[in-house]
Amino acid sequence: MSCCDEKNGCGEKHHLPVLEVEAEPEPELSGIEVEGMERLQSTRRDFLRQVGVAAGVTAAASATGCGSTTWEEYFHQHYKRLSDEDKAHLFALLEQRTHEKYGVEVHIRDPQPIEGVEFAYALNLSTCTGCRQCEYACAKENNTSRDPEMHYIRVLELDKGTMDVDRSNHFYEGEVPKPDKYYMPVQCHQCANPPCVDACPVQATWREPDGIVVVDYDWCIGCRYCEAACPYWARRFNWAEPSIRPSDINPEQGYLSNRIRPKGVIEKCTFCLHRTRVGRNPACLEACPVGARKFGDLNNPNSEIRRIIATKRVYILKEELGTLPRFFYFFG
Amino acid sequence: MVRPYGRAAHLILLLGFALSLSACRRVEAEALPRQAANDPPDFVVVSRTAEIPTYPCTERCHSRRAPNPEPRELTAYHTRVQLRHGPDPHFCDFCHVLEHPETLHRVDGETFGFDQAHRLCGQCHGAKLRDWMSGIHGLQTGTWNGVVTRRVCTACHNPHAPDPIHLESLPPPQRPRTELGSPVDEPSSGEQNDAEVSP
Repeated sequence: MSCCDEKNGCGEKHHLPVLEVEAEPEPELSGIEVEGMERLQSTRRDFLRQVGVAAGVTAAASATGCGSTTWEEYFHQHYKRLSDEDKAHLFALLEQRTHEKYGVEVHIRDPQPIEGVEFAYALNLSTCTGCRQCEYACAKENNTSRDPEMHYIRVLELDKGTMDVDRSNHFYEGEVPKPDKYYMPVQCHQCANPPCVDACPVQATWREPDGIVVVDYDWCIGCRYCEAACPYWARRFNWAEPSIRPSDINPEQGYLSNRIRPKGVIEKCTFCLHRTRVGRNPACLEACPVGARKFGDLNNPNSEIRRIIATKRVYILKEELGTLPRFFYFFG
Repeated sequence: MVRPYGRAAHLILLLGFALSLSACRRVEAEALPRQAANDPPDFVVVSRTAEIPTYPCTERCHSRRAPNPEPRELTAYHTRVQLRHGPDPHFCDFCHVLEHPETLHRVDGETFGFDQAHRLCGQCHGAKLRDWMSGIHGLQTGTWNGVVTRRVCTACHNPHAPDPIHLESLPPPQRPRTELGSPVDEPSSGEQNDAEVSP
């Protein structure tokens, strides 16, 4: 466990240094009335907004190929500004869209963080065999695209006696564990000081009170800054329209987690918040045949996570970056 | 040559070493309060007996056979059981009660069924048992904040001939494509490089 915790004070939120840009000198406005210019700019902004909205609606309507696209669907508010009523409308709409596209009845829910709970994950490097069961269980649970294939979990194969992830291989095949190799599954570390959140220019990603870093898929602009900022290669971008067979769709969906994403947005592991916030375990944990994965509440001193941190040799990947992950590797 | 303070110096050194050792032990005991926790979280164990087709052994077969504690190769029944575990030489009665093989017994005389097999394994593998009891070792399902479900040792480990667990890995992830929709059988130079490049 790092000494730098946000609670004991030494781990203040780090901000990247920002290059000070000198303001460009105002152009000479000789011969033009400044008042009039302001009015002109204001008028132009209004005009552009109207044109943009009209173009957006037209494009949206033509993209879906039907005239039923609603204003709400394309221009709804950021998740944090949605009222309960807005959410009910929006979720019903999304369920309807999924039904139209895939013919599957899905239920979109929005479970809220549990008061006083902070989630954490621990993974036993001594027992992980690298079988990739977690990787595929995750894809199934989270409705990730099958083609192009997207997996939140990347299982690295490393040489015994080294921790050098840069020399790892995640394309290994065949029977595992191989001699002289060990396996390190990497997924979102749900950092307490997440660089991805700092990098997002539109605040489409943030850290929830229970420690889970989430993405508002409808607010994401797809700039991929967060993907570049993440030191754990944990974020995935939808380069193409996600393709899933209707029979593979998991109908129990969370708005901030495993609902089917649109093209052009970022997504990532959310510790299966639609499961964990109602008391269940993440899908990857239940899929692990050797029980290498442990999940629980960091604030509960009797949880397995706390026992592991207190009694085992715990390793934090890239601890020196100060990201304060809520994902711990241990040997036991 | 006699050094008058040699013995005293040794004594002081020894004393210091002993003190430092005891100090270490004290620190360790304070740092690990939950190791000796008497109240592990509530858990239920998946029953093993339901998975054993010949259970209960006495009723099915062994009531009709005389117990034979002589170590020998089994040819009629249990031919697949290879005994490569524990002190050598030993036989079934080391763990099973010969008259009622579905009952296990410990060296201290305590007896229990297959669903409590961890109590037998814990005789030697005490540290693992401690981890299992506190939820650190072994697959644990159910809920993270309520009752959890565990499996006894023998659900994963073969008690007669324990081997490291080997599994067939699921297929590796797709290699990154340089251009979406491009045929897979036309690898571009970028793809060939990807094989060498780690993530």
